[in-house]
Amino acid sequence: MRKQSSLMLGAVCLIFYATGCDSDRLQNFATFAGLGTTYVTAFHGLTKAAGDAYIANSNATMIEARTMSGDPVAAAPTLLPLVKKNADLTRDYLINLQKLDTQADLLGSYFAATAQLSGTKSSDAISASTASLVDALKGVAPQIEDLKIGTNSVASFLPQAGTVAVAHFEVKALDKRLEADAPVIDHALALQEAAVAAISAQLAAALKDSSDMFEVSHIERPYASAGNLPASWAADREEVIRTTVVLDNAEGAKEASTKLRKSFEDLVSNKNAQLDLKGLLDAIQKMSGYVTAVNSTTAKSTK
Amino acid sequence: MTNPSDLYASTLSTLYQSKLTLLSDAWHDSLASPTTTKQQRIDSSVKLVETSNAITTLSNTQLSAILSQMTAQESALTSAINGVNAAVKNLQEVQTVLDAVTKIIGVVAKIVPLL
Repeated sequence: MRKQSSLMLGAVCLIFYATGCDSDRLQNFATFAGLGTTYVTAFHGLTKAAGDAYIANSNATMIEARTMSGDPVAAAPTLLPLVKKNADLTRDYLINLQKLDTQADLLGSYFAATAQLSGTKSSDAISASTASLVDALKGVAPQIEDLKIGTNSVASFLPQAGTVAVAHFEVKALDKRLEADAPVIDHALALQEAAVAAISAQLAAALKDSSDMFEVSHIERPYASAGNLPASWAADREEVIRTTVVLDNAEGAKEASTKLRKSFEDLVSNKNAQLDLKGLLDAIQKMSGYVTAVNSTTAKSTK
Repeated sequence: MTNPSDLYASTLSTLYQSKLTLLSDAWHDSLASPTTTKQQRIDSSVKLVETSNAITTLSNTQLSAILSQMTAQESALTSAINGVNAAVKNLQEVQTVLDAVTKIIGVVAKIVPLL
């Protein structure tokens, strides 16, 4: 009986030793997966803003070209096929953005599955089962409760035993998956980075171009013309100035995808890494803020 | 060697710069000049739309290049998702095993005092 008790004490000590950092790591997994899901939502906002900005820019350009021709009727045979082609290209652009959204959703599914694996749903059920097992062990070997780990009795640890064991099971499962999936997910995150960099640059360029066209047609030409300025002139000029401030924040969108990848790499490469999850959250919020500002600018420029 | 994304960015910037030139006050004034013909004004408007179309074509090419890489690894990503979902299922199976062991131990607990 003494040998059996010693074995049990050894087993209990081993479990507590092995699972010492499990709950921290599990928390990192869960937070990272949650932020990954939030990032995907922000990415959808970015693609929607890019699509809207492209349509607004396309409309403004077609209107400007019509005016520039001086004679829309005479220009129509040459201009109209190009206008139709522009509609097709803009449609293709929207389809590409839609496909990127689908790819981001796929990445979102990975984050959702990881969140489930590191979440509380499965934990609760397994925790209950483990607690029952511990109770059953007590039935076979009641002396287990009298054993000591340091100065504390095993009995004082028993209420936590279920949670600790669950964290250990989950961390093992997550680490195993990470080991297998890391190259694929890292590549997917690298492509996300490339996509966000491309979309941000295209969006900023389209926004600047729209703002330039708006400035020429609504600010400079009226200002250089005889007669009174339009009543909206001051407000329009303010809008152009504010747009330049929005454009300066384009980098914020890129930061989110870069930090998401960096956090993943840290999570994979170092089990004890202190992840900058607060920094990642801030970057995602900046991305969302940029999208909100772009949407407001696009809406005003198409008035 | 030039980075492809830098090449896209610099070409995009040049195209927008060309568009901006066509929209400038100086160009606008030259089109308004009496010496400018109707056909020249139409040609200018055509160039403006063509430039815009070139910008959208380039943007589409850039996104398509990224998308084709994403599509190429789509099955690997799906497989990774399935792997995590299977791990979730395995954890649920752990619960089943724990429950089964608990039952057996419960039976043993009843037998041991009789031995």
